[in-house]
Amino acid sequence: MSMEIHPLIILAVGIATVVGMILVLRLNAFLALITAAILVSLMAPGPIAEKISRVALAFGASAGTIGIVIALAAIIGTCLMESGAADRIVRFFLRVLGEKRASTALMGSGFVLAVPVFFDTVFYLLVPLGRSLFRRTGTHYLKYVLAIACGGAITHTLVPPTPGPLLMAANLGIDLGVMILIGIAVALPAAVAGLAFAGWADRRMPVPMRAIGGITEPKPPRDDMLPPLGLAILPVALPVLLITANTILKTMADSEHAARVVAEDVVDAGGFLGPIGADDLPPDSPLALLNALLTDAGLDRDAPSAEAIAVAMNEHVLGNRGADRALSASNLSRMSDAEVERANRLVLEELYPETVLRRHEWETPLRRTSNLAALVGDANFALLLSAAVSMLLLVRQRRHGREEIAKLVEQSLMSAGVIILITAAGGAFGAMLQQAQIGEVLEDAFGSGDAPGAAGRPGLILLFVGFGVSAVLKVAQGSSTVAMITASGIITALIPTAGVEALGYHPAYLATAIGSGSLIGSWMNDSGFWVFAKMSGLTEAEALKSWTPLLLVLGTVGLIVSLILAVALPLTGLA
Amino acid sequence: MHPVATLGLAIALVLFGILALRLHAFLALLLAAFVVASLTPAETLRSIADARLAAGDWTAKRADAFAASTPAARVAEGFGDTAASIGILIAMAAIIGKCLLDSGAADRVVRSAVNLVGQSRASLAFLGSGFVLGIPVFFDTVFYLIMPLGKAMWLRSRRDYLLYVLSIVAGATMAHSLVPPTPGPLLVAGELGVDLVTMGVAGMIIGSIAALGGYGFARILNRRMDIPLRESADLSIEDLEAVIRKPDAELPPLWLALTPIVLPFLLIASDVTLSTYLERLDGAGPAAWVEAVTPLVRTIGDKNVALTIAAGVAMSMLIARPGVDRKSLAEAVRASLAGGGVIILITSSGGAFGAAIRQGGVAQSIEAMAGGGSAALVLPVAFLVTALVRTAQGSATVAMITAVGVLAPLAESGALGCHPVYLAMAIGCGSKPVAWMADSGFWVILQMSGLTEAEGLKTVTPMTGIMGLIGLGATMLGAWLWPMV
Repeated sequence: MSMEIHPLIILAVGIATVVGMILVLRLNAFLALITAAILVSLMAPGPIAEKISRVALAFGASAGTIGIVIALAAIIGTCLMESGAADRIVRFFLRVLGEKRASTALMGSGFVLAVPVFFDTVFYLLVPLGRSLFRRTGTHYLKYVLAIACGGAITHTLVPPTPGPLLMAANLGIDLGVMILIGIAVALPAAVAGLAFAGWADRRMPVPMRAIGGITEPKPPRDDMLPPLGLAILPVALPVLLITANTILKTMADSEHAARVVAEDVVDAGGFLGPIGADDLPPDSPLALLNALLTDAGLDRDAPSAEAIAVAMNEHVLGNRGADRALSASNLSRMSDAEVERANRLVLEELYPETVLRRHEWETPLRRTSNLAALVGDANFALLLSAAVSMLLLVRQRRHGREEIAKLVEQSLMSAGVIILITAAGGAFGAMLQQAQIGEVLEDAFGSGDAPGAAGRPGLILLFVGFGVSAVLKVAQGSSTVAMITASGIITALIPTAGVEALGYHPAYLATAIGSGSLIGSWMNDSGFWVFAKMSGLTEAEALKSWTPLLLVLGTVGLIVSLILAVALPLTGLA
Repeated sequence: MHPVATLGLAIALVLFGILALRLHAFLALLLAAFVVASLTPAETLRSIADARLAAGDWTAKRADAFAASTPAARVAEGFGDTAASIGILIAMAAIIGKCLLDSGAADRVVRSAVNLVGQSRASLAFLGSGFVLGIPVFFDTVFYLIMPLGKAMWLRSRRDYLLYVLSIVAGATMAHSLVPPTPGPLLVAGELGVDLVTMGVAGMIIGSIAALGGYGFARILNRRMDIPLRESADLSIEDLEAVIRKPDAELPPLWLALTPIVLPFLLIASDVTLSTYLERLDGAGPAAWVEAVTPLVRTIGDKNVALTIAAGVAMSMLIARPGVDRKSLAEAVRASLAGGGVIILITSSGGAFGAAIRQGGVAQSIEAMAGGGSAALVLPVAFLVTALVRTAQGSATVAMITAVGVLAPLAESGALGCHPVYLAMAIGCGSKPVAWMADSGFWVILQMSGLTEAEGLKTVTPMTGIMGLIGLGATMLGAWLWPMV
């Protein structure tokens, strides 16, 4: 039983299990992913007693990261729909842009609403508007429905808290605020390109509006029954603002580098060298390490100036993360640069009395603000707040009894429950692939990123790989979310051990590339395809000629934008 | 804020959320968890982290991260820890339950039980089959399933209707609160560190005693009150005739019908047996064949794998029925996951709530107050706390989830004096009283059986209360005779 199985075989078995169980056995994605996770874990190295428990633990870790958020987002989505807030957002776009640019308005509404709400629900809401617009204008039916699909699909795959991007962020260790901001930055150009395609397809292939059997057109609610815009947008805007504010404030506070040594901090430059000058420094002690680091820095030992010490500290000591180079014994790999500096500085301050090295002040006003923002900007808390707001909004608008609200919440939780199970199982699958140590094998095969001149290049290839894997999975089994969670699990296992430094760009670009890939090749096995075709009254051939290429355009542009941004704006410092 | 005050506030918040705001239990528990976590002072967190570090449970990095974490992050972690221990199990149990129903396997279990004891003692068969089916299937579903058979039986004999109704309730409700993998016992066992085999065996013993006690009470009631079957809208007499006349040949055989229920217990028990055997070896090497099967038994005896295998068997059983295609199987699985998903959400938020309370440092305070109390004191207290929450908000599962969050520190503090499984039993029995209008299960019983509210309060409510008390008595007796420490 101690036979080692080659990691790439494990990867192949894992993927074959997922695709086979979904495609051939037609089993629920949850069953497919959890079975694949168990199989991969059994084949991956590790003590036999832990092989199943680590699957359950990884399942729980994913559920902890995404479960509360998805459940609350489902409640928010239902409340947006039921309270008329979604209608208000659409009408606002239509009023501002005018009927001439109605398709832009539909795209914009889809874009905003699909941030918390699932794609099919957004589409159900917006399609009747497209139809009534056509009845008034008499043209551009296809353009309207494609515009809705375009806005809804792109944020669904790129901007959390929809389940796909949420789990990608969790798998790849991306801060949620960064994921939101980069997701929007990639989604916007893609959506504009998609809108252009919608106009082009509409000119080439005019489609008439057909009566849709079995669906009664809902009567639009009166304008005075809808909530005001400010309230309507609040459940979407509040969590986005809180989460990104947390990210931005933390970045700003980090950029102060409060723990760095300035010349004034070095009170006694001569006394600074005293403790490390001794000949019999115990090996492996912080002092010995500091001595070695300062020798590397070429510090003038005879007459050190405070400035020179400060420079040497900042450049050669404080920023070190590696196990044998950092003064601090804590695990620094997941910390920001500023936090690493602080951890090392704290060790320095233990080594020197205050008469030699002044204590740094970490709790600057900005840092305190940032800590406060971290309390409310946590995704779970921000969404709980937003869910409370949206439920209050529903009570205000509809005067629903508590029983009705309880029923709506129960319904949203039922749909969210399945998604959470699938997503958490996908998280477990990804974690088990990491246990199989595929990344190490690939590094050995292709040479590590340490080779001179290679830095950054292999990273960009990974963007294509992520896009490709996700696209293949999408074509094979149909669901974008399953494609994203499976592909991000695989890609996380492929990332070189050196992490961000080897990638050369922020991992959020990997997530957007994978998300873009999950838009490629939507056909009859995709439930979104049927929602689009049935709800807009298109034949299957027409949908294949409009919906499928639209998503292809969105995905391709998404990949291109991710590539450009990864090169032009790598943001490695944020990771 | 004093930890015990925080504890009181936490329970009050859950009840206020569910009762006054009518929040979904998921939201109420989550909200309470956030509030408790926010009220926990940083020094308490630091001391917990240091204690875990000193005990060697955590690395220095883990302890630092915990001490510096935000309240929301701790809630999410508690949620995830619970989802890790119960998530896969509940999802698989939901699939098993749904497949048992849809394939007719559950029907087969009931009919076989009736045939075994004879039609004249059908109520005993309902009690037994209700208990067996209540292990993987939720209470209301079991009731929906057996009730038509009870009605059909009444059509033949024209008597003992009340006895039939109460027997089904007595069997199903005890298994629901005492034997995993239903969510309540599952979470309680996980939080108290009781392994599932111990929990299952103890639950079956205590549950059978309590159910038999309830059955005796039901017989007395049945002699005093004669309640006829009233025509209800959902099930006409003709439908009932159809239920009886459904040929036995359409149902799966008994051995197959029972496999999804029995198999997981056998698999888990085989792993426990093996571990015990290996522990008792005292250095001597195990036999060669034992060594060869160890990895396999370890794997399939894991609770998650055991239930996954059982779910696979149950699904194969369903798809093998005539007229069932892949599409209806997929729909059945989807529906069961939707139901199971909500239960997982509620249970995990209950776990987050419990974690937040424990991190509030309540264990030390209770320990100081109880001053090394004994099982004779702790078990009734656990029973009362659970009964209080149950009576106030209605759901037995939510009561167990909330109560175990409050009571788990007792098991850790060493004030118990007996095996924690007894605490789990006391909590399960405490979730029985008092069934009244706040409880959705109470309404299911009334709706399906056609009892009036007054009749329900005079029959179902006292019977479940008595079952809870009998169960508590049996638990305390067991803790006194075999403390197992």
